[in-house]
Amino acid sequence: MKRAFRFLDRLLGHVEDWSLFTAVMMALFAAMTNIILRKTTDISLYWSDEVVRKVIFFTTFMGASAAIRRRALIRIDAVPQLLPIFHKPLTVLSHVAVLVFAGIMIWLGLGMTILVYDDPFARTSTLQIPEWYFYSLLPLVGFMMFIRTCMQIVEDWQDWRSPTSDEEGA
Amino acid sequence: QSDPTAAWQPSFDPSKAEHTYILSNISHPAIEGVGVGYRIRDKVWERSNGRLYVDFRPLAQLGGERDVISKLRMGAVHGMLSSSVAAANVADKLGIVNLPYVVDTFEKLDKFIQDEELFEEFRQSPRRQGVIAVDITSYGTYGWATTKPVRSLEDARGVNFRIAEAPVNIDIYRAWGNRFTVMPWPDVPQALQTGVIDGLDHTPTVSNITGKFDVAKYFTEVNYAQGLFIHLINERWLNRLPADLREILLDVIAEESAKSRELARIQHEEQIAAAKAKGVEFIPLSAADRQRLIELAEPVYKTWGERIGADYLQRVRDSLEK
Amino acid sequence: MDTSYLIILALLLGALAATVPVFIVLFFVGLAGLGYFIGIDPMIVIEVLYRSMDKFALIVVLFFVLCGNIMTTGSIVEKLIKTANVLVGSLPGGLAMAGILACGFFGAISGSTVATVVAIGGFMIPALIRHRYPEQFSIGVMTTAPILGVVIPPSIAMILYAMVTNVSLEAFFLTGFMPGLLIMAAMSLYAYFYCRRLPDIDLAPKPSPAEVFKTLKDSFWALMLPVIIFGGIYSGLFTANEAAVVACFYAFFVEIVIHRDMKLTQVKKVVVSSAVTSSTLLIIVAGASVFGEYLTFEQIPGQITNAVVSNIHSQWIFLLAVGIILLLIGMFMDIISATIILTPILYPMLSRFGIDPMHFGLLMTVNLGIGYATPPLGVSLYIAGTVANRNILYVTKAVAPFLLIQLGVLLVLTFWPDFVLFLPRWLYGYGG
Ligand code: NA
Ligand code: NA
Repeated sequence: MKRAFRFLDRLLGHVEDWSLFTAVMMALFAAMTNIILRKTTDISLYWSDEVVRKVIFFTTFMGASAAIRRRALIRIDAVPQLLPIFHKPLTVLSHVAVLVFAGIMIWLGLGMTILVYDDPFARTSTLQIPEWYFYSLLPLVGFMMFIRTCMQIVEDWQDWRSPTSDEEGA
Repeated sequence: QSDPTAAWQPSFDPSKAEHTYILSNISHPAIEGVGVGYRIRDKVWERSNGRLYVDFRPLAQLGGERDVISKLRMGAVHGMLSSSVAAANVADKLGIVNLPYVVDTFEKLDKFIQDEELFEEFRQSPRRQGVIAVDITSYGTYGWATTKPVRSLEDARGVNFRIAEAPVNIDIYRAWGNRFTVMPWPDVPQALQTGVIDGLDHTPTVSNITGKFDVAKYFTEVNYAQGLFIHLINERWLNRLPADLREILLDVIAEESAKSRELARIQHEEQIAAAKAKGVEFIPLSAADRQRLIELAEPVYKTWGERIGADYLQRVRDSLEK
Repeated sequence: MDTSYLIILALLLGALAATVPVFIVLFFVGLAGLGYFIGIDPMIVIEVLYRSMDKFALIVVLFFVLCGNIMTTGSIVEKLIKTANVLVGSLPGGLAMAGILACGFFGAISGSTVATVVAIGGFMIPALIRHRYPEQFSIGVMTTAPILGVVIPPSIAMILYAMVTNVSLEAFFLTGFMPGLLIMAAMSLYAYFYCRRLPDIDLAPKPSPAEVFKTLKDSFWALMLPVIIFGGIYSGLFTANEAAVVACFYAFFVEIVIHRDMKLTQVKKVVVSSAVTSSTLLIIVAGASVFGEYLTFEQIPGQITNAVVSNIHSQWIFLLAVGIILLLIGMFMDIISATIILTPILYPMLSRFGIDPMHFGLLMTVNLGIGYATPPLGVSLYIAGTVANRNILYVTKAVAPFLLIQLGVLLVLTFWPDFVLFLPRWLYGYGG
């Protein structure tokens, strides 16, 4: 069980890290090349904007899965800071909310992907890439977020049960 | 700095209407082809005795054109005055009006709409997407607004044109061999100001009303296409509307769109005169250069002809050239 | 008021208080409004998520975050601090002023406050205490000066405001310089007069011209970064959006090739962590777009505008009221979420009160920026508390005088629009 978890964690980590790195570098170089070519030659990379836009879309949603692992999603934690007694119940509630969100992403995301797949005109305006490629990222990320959150729940559960860490240990 | 929709508030209270028709557009209601939305609203309200409210939302209130097209197909938005450039993303056949020198004058546009057989084919073409095209309004004739004079095709080579996000326009500009940048409309002012682009593929009406002539002081009258808003409606929503209201809505759209095409023609002349008075130079394109653009666009007619239907394209060209 | 609005509002506030991630709260509330109360196909939310990120302007968020991280990983930040110190360090309160100046330098490259607190505060607080500055004063100044990260352009909050309102980003950026300088001047003056009375403080010896020259030469490449960013933008070499890309290339080049303080193997780590950081910001924009979709369909901003306009009749009362509301919201919410949620609601009111949208956007940025250092939820308070190993109450007392100074500046900016708009008018021909 533990080994399977660690394997899954590393696998997802690799997918997240490498895809994010590749995407960002692609956008960086496409945009920079466009700026240079525009100023020095007659060539304009008319597609570079589209590449950048798709990378923004990709990194935002793929990054959200990675952010769950790093517990980096922005939340307002005034209540548990001021009233530590609410810490545990709110952590549970928050995990459940992320799971529900992930479920909705999978469900509605798949529905939308199929709808777009059936539409031959749903292509990006510049490079004419079928748009369902991009829509399909949303249910995929929903799936990854679901797994990531499950792993966090297990982690929190083990933390709370072990006697070495209680409230003031944080 | 005033709210441009404030002048267009309805003079009636729409909250009691039985049905609401949400109609979207990206542009400014001072353009006749856009302002028509408010005139449709008022006339439909009067004729339906307050049963149908046309909730017109110009100025991209409901999002950019590609967003709204998706919302239209899902039925979240019921109708849209879609620019002809964006409408080509709904059905290839709708892109026929964007091809160079096909529907390039106000007269040809009227002729096209009045040809029942040809126009009906055009109207029905997006039905697979759950959408029908009911009518067309205009915002003028396309040319090049530039920061330096473009008197010939050679001059045009030195210009970086901004064009809209539409595959057919990309193909046309590639065939013409011009430099271009695909850029969303909201980014245009700063790009023009800072020299990232020095030309704009647009109409005099839009260039003048949206202040682009303050920076780009030359306009080459390429006159290769009409700038059009195609009135698209979600068919499922239309079919669910009671038959009498549906008839009122479609009748009013037809009447007001026809009127607005006439107003757009007058506005085109007025805006050119106003721009000239401000010191904008209008440069006609020579017949030889025009001919050259048609020849260069041959591959575009061929590839897009296949997507539109080569036979349909030929029939439209024949009918309009007569 | 419609009961469905009350349910939506309760759901929004309840879920936010319950520590549900902000973007998920916004997404749920928008989905509930669209699907349940309006009856639109819920699949529309997927469409909105996709389209909301399909925007070129967002490139700046990702790449300015990356640029900030490159500089912190390498040695640019260290060199900026050294430069600030050699310029003003020998005056009374000089080290504190150097800290403020360093925040200004860093702010001219970084787009966020948190990055500034971590980069400058983490170094300067221990340094100030070592030089026998009072601890409370040291913490106070280095917790509040990082507001310059969002006030001096580039600024992520300003970028998002410009995106929502369609004001020209190039012109809007220019509104931040004068207020940024005013904040620096006011805080430095306070530091000068406060420290002049304290004989214990170690004063740095006045540096010789040769030392000044050597430090400036050493940090030449670091100091060129803001010059390249703003020179490039305002000469038309590239747009404000593209500036972020150029800044990243430059920062990589300087750290790897010139300073040699970054290894190629560190590149991937910096890029990935920047992508994740920018994702946590941008996904709030995506969630807010779903919520915004509901607001748009219900025309709620228009209704709020009408209610406000029929109750408030003066421009000054409006600005004061909104200012107080923003301060309260800023106490609990971060600047990105607040900007993205509140701008579409507040923006339509501006023309009714004759308020310039750029002036207002700058006020909003400064106001919400102050929220970074206000209890109970000022992120900066907690970071500084960790650095100095002090509790939140101690840090709160420490920041109080500086918050008063910044509120004073905010008041000046509120009632003196010409001061804010002077640069965009002069350099950009802005007509507002
Ligand atoms: Na900044
Ligand atoms: Na706060």
